[in-house]
Amino acid sequence: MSRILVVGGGIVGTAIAADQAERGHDVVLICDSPIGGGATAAGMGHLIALDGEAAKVELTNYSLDLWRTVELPDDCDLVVCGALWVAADDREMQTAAAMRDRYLSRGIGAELIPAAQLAELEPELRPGLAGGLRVPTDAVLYPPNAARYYWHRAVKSRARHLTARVLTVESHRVQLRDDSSERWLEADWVVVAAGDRTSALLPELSIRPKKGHVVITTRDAPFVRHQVVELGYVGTTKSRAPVSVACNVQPRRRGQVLIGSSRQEDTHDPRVEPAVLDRMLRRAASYFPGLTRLTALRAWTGFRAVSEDGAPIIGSLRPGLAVATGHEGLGITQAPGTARLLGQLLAEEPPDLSAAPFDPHRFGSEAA
Amino acid sequence: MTTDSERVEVLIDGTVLHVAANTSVAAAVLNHGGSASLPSRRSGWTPLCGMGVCWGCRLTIDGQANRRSCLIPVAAGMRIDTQPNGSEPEAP
Amino acid sequence: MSSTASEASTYDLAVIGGGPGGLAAAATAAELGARVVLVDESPALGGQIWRQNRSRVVPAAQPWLARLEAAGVELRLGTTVWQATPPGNLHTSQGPIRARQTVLACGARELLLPFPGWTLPGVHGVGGLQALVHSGLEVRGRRVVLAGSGPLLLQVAASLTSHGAQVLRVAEQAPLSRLARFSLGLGPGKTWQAVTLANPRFRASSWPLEALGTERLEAVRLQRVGGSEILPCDLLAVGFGLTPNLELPRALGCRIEEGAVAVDEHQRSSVRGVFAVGEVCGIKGAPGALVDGLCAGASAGGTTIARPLLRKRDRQRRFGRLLTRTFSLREEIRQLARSETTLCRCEQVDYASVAAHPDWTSAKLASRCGMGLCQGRICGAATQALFGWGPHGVRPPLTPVPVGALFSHDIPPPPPASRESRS
Repeated sequence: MSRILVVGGGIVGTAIAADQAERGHDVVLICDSPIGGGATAAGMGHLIALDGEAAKVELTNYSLDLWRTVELPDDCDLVVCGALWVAADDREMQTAAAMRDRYLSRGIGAELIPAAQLAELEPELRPGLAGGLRVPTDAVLYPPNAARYYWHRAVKSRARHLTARVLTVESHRVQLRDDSSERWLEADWVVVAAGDRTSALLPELSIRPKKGHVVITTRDAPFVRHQVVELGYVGTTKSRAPVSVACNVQPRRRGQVLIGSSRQEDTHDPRVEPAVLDRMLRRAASYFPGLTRLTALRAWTGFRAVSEDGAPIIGSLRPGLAVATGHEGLGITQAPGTARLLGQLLAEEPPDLSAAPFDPHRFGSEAA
Repeated sequence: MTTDSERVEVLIDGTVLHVAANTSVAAAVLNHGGSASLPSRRSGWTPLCGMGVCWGCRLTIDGQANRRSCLIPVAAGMRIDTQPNGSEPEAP
Repeated sequence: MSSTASEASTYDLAVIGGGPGGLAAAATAAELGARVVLVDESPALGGQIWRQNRSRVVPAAQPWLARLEAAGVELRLGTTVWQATPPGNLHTSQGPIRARQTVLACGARELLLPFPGWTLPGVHGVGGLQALVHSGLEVRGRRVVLAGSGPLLLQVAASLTSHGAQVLRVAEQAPLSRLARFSLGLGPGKTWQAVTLANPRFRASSWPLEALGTERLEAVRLQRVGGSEILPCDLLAVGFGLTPNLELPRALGCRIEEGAVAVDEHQRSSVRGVFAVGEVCGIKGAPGALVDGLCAGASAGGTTIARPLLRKRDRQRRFGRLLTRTFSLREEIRQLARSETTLCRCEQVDYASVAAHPDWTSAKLASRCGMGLCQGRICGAATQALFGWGPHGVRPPLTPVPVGALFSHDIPPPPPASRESRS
């Protein structure tokens, strides 16, 4: 049995804590905010088979399979609503067709939706759209309680939680502050799953924050059935523009509607920016004109953790120090797969999927 | 400006009612049976604070959901709906 | 210079709240030459205390309305401020407003604490019932019990009686000994004691234990000296005192001390260009709010505050402290809820589900308390009183608004405040 210190109590940290504790290790999770309270709580909570580079897709699909094996408690509000990618014009419809082929080749169900059927599936969408692509297995959930679910599993296997601020991480030890006293904790492995805070703890890893805004409405009569995303969304996830927005509208199980999304680089300011809200909501309303009459309950922001090449960083950085971060907008989707993969790497078991694309050392000589 | 004795015609859940002008929608609904006339729910419809803080008085007014009826005066021809589908947590 | 659309919305002063403090500040500053806009969520001026209905205010408010009009104060009623940045960039449900200075006169709300049955139709806040009656609720012949704490209980009892209600009981949790000291502290000429003792329905050391009924309120069980009593009634008005509306001050970054906006002798908050008056900087009642407003209006208008006014304000602040001491809540009030009693009314979260957590943020994330339409204004204040949980962060929209109301182009910062700019 090894002593494992997990730094970070988001969905990735809690999933790792559960995996490590269930392997029989002595796990201590350290974070200074409530479990699932950071970027995890800020996220939209989608389980989505996002198209993209092969390695990321492989991790996503591996992780989605793991999500399907867990029995989430009711308070996680899981809804398998499916995703509906909306094409504004014929060019985007071609993109949708190409996406469908890739999905099908990976064994993921996906169907093209002709324009006429779009209004049937989502009556609130504006008329005149070209069609869409439906991925019926995609889902949404309430992320803070999903993190708490993993945490409860970890606790069942005797993991403990330490509310403290982590000041320094090194191989085999972390320095932390609780109740205004500073001390070092020793371990066999330190696992840093601190999202966009990772660079502050491990300056050799470049993790940039990418700010996002979200608006949630009150519960009203059903408005959307699927997670509805404009096909331009994939482009914005790679955009380097100062601010990019895309229509991403999701139903919550309890009748609320979650409206996103925005991406901003080069800011650490957590405040909600009315100008960004304006752009994001206008974008969403350009697909869903009826959105404007829903009641906005809260707006908030969060920071996605983005690595230099946009892929997660998972694995050992040096003996006694491992890392799992850089999931950008897919932290919830990829958390169980990340935890399982890291567990296999630390145990020196053959991994279920290739870990090379996520290797912390892939960025060149400065790292490690 | 209207005087207290004037009445205006409003529609509450499709029923025509003549209510005193110068009253808030919340008061008008309470005066006409209050929660007794509304769809029964776990906790009923209860304007608690009367001043726009608690949202317990929310109703759909002229098609817009989640209006705070305690802050809104009745007006001739106003359509007031008591949100049978909307804005309520699910029963457990 | 030709005026553009955006300039048309630029003011020297924005006053948020149309109660006594806001009216006095707006009128005073406007009379000194400032271009003033007054914003209120309600469709009518007067605030909770001076409003009678959409078209009527109490006589005390009349001269202020006349002064507002004469001084050319612009009114934005039925307008919700959903976000603000200092000193006066206001995002509202009716579009942006820009001002060089702001007076926060956001008032207070009632502290409402959970007890069994408090969600039954027929149970209202004390001020809430008063407001509903002012806006046309008919109470003639209705049997009413008022319970909780604070001077509002008797005021509202008197008002309900004058509207024909049958007031069965006024139950004040504070002990008689403290109430007697309060009356003495008011000095000669104050009639609170007389009112209290003259009202045969008044009971000290008495509080609500349970509202009874199935579909709606049928009776209330009250604690009283030596036991309890059950009173069949039609309406129950409860309130455990007032708590300042701090959402907007906190969004602006104003320093909060002892649960109220901290202000200096000019009513300035810790944020440059932002003033605060009335209950939002400490519960003190309408006369105190009025004096605050006069002071802030003078400061914002660029003159000094007259010495007698300062002395008057000090007296009002002392009165406010006396109020707080007199009506401080007894421990039993914090024990009224049962495990299954609803604590968060919007999301229907029970007491036990909230109390299981160590702090507000954890409780909110896991149980969803405070995540509904009131945004924690009711249950957040309650958990602060019950568990001592710190105030939670504020987020835009400060009040729920239609999604379409969040469309707003960024407002450029206003030019720096200058005293000359007003002339």
